[in-house]
Amino acid sequence: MATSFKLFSSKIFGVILRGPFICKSFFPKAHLSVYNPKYVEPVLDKDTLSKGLEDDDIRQHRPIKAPTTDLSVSPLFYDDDVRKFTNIMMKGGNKERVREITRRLLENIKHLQVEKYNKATTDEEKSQIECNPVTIFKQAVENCKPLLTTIRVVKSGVAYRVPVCARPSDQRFRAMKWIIDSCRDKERRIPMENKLTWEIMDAYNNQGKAVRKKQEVHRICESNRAYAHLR
Amino acid sequence: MAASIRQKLSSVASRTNSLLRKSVTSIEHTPCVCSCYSTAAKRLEQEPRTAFRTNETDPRKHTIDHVGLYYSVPDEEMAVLKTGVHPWHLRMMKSFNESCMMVRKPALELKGYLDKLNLKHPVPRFLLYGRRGSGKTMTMQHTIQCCHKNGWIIVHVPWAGQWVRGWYKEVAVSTYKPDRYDLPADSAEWLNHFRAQNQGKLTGLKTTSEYIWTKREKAEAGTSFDEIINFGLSRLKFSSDCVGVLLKELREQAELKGLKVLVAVDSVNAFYVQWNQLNALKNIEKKKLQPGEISLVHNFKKMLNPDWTHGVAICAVSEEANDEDRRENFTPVYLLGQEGFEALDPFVPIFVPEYTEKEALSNINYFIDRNWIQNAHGKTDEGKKELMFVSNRNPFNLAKICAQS
Repeated sequence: MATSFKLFSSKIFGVILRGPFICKSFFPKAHLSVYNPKYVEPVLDKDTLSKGLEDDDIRQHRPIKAPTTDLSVSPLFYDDDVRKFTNIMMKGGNKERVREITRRLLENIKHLQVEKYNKATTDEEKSQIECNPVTIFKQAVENCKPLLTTIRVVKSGVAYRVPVCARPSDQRFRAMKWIIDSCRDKERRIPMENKLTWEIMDAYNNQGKAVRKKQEVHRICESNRAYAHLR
Repeated sequence: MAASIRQKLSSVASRTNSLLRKSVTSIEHTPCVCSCYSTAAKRLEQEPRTAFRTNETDPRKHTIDHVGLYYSVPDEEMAVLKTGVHPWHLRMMKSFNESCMMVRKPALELKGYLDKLNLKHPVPRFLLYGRRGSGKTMTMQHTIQCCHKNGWIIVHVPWAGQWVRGWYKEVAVSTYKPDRYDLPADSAEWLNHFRAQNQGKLTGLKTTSEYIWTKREKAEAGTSFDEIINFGLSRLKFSSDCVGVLLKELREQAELKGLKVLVAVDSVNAFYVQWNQLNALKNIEKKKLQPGEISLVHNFKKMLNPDWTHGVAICAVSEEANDEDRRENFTPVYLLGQEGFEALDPFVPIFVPEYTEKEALSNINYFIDRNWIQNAHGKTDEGKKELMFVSNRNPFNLAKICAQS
């Protein structure tokens, strides 16, 4: 009875329950910080900083952690997803070039949308056009994120492709990788930023190669659902 | 003679400078004491900051009050100006669905000089210089628009560097002199450009002497300029010679017919500095060509000589027209080199500075108005300050940074 229930439950919830949920609930997170627990969190708000510390404040006597990059950089020029995208695109450590490509990509998207916006005559039309390139980029990546992926499991000498729930970091990586790879397949004479612009505008509208790739992966998972208990 | 011109020009310069300075001081004292006691509605504190546009679209009427404000350029005038505007700027104008330019101080200074000029003196030379992306070209465009409205004949070189460097470009031995070289395609392009900029102004002009192209073909005295341009465009082999003929006739007829000729050459230092072996133009025997050997450059250099009247020459020096190892400084003497400086001296240097705080704010506000700056932080006062700081108020850098935020 017990075994059959276990099988049954894994068949229903197995796909959903794997991953961070279980890790979080059952196993406490290991202490991974390089800092001694005595270290205090830094203050980044400018107004608070300008006031200074009181004499009896505990931070007078405790060491302070260094602020992380994404907290201390201005939101004008930094976005975590854009940074990740740039790094995935990079080849041979040539970051300067990739950053230029990303910059032009965002500029291209903005040109496309702002032109539509400024040509629109009514307010209603204008309100429907999204002009922020970073928002469009994020939505495009969101549309390419797979919910399920497959892992390779060998059972009694046979390899199965078993569908599992994809972790958030994995989803992000897959989506970005597919967008970039689909552009690398296209003609080489066209600048990368132009190809990326088309691909991202397609993905934003749920079309294009990267979105099709996601659907294909979903289809494989669907056809291999019988192996879900093997993981 | 040159010394006398210089004296005259310097006196004009000092006069206009003093004028400019006076009006500046009157403008910069904006805080109004009387408003504290008056019963009139109090002006909002942000009002002067958000004003970035002026309705005065006629560039001739711009005064020091309009500095830092945008004015829109109508399409028919943009057709005259757009060859000289940088592609990224044109792209922005297309996206903004309107062509706007900012009124800036160097342009007004130049306009002031031109208004008070005595055209009977030999051609005065004005030289725009400044850091990369600080707006030398746009200053020139503003002046060209002024002169175009006043009915001047415009002889404009959008980017002189195009004629002295390149790869796989067609270089032909000149039909006029064997030790010179023609650039047929570039000459034809320039003829087109010249015709487009001076539509309706060339109708009464005719040549004064006979020009023999080949044994059978010749242009007799009294041929109209339009015919010569058409000949140059249909027979590309002679297009460079046609340019030479037009320029020579303009120089000769300017005084006789009372024409007003504006010679505007962007990145004039390309005429005087040598290029390295890789990028310079070469003839069939792979010999590197000096700028003076190219007939187009040779003809335009003559336009800059002060041996004719009823004209004005406005030049700009740019670092991009120099070789990569000669871009350390942006001053005219450094960029022109010994030869160029001697050829252009005496000239009136006009410094094109980076944006002032008012101009930079006006630029950012214009971008926000056109929905160009999308980042929410960029629209706050803090964000605007940051944009100005990071770009060092350099117009090109500011536009580049705003494009990604």
